[in-house]
Amino acid sequence: MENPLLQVKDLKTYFRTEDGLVKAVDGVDFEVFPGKTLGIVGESGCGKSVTSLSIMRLLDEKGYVAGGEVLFSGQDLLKLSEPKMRKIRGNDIAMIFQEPMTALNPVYTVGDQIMEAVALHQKKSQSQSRKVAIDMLQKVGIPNPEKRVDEYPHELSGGMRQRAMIAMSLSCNPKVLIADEPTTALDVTIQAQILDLMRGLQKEFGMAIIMITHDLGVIAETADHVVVMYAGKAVEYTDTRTLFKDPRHPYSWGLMNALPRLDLDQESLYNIPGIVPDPLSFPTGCKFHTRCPFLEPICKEEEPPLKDVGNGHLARCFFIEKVMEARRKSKAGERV
Amino acid sequence: MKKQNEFRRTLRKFYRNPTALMGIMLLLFFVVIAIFTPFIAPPQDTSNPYNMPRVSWRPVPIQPTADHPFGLIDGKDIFYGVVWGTRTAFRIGLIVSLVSTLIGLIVGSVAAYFGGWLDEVLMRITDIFMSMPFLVGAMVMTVILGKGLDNVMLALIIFGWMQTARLIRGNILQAKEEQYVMAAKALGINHGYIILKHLLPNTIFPVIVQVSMRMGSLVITAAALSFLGLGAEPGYADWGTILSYSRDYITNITDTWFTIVFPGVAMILFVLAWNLVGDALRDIFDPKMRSK
Repeated sequence: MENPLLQVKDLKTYFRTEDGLVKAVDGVDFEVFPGKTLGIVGESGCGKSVTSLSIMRLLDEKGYVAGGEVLFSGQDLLKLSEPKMRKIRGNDIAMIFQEPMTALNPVYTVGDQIMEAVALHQKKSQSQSRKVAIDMLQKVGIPNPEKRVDEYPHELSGGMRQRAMIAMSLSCNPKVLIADEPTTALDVTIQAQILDLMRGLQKEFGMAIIMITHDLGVIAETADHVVVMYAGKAVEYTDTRTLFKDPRHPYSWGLMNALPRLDLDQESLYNIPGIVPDPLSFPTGCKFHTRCPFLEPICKEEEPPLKDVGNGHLARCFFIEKVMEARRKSKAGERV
Repeated sequence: MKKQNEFRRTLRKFYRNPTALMGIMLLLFFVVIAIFTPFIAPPQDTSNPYNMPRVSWRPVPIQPTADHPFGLIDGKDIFYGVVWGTRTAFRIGLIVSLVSTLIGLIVGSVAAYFGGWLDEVLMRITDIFMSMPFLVGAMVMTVILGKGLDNVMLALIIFGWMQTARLIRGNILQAKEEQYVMAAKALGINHGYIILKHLLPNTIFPVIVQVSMRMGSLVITAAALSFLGLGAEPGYADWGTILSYSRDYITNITDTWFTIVFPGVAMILFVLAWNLVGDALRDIFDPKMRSK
């Protein structure tokens, strides 16, 4: 196997708030390989976005990285000086955002914004940058790019803006692209187009993608490997196929079980009982124990480690056999 | 090309607005006077043209005549003073408002963008300056710095930047949460560039309106200081200074009306011109009125 391009090791990001310390990310591990897509999935507030912002070192003043390493081609990004980090942002690691409506500056043309990054990182002249901008707009499937390059964001539709955003982030040919819910704000047909486009561009440019989403459909369609996050922790890490077929953590199992099944006649869908715990007072022991259907006394006292359950499949649970058993049952269509 | 269209659209809107047109005409009138001052009122002493020349040794006000259409006071030609005072008014208005706005912009945007303790310190300094009454503060400053127009301008700058700082801080606090700022950071763009190129263009319009409104009122404030004897040297071609001569004849208004009316009207029209322009700018920049 190839060497990983980006390695996140036991990342911890905390926020100082007036109510106390919020451990938004508290132990996340993953590796990103060139040309592959890593999915990060979890519900709102589980720390997906904070993980990506920590990698980019773009946390606001209240947040800080309390521990761990982010290794990018051998160097720890968390230890780099700010000017060096700035050279990496946009050039080596780029990012696209959830809201294409607001991620482009309304007072500049789309072309100006793409050219800004190109001129900054690649030291190209105005006319060369413009050529790159038109070229990139063409590549992301914007029709008539020579004309569109001079248009303002408000003249483009949501899907077009997201395409422009992708063009902007890929204009410097980054090695890693972090996509933070890139399709959440778009309607379903446009979503499919954008995901297709990203896959196509990945083949063409060979960049690695970190796909952050709460949508298991997006994960199934794009990701090669998946990290499932819950309450700031990675609870499961495996390849996408295995996660859907054979989840080992009760939370992932719950997510899979909640998906509608075409082969069964279902009156109602499964839902994971309870709500996400308050980040100011996470439960002791396993963070998921308050909602876990397989609860044992030890879960309340001890935090299970992230352990290998075979072939690099990691899960953070003491009782994976119970999950496997439940999975067998639910596959057969029994209620659990 | 697109930008030019936008510019032309703005201009067109300006012309269609009758009050804006009036403001612009008035302003142009003053600009023309300021440009052609030496031809309208040729100075006797070209090395010091701002000093109103003495044309008579009688100190009492003398009614307007053909030679001196605005009359004389303290032996000085009021017409000459009003005409050269236009240049003074522009100098005070432009320099004070531009410099104080620049200071306000720097303080406000740095405070808002970086936040934290820097914001706290800068805004508390702003509060301290705001807590002093403007006119009293400016008076104290001119007393400390000494008489003279330059010192008046300095005093007005020192006590004139806070509103801008607060205004731009508020706007940037709001704008910096926009995702395009995060996107710019994620592209590796540095802080100064983000403030200058991404935040200020999105937030500066209310400040531009404020500047044009203040341009006029600053001239009044400077005149008030001159009237109180804290402004320009006596004899300096400045509307406030001419007004201050009339102080001695305030009980005898029928014989000395010209000492108040001519510089006074000049001042009113000057302020009116800037306010009309500012009002029109406000209408043009207001997004709610944009579509019209």
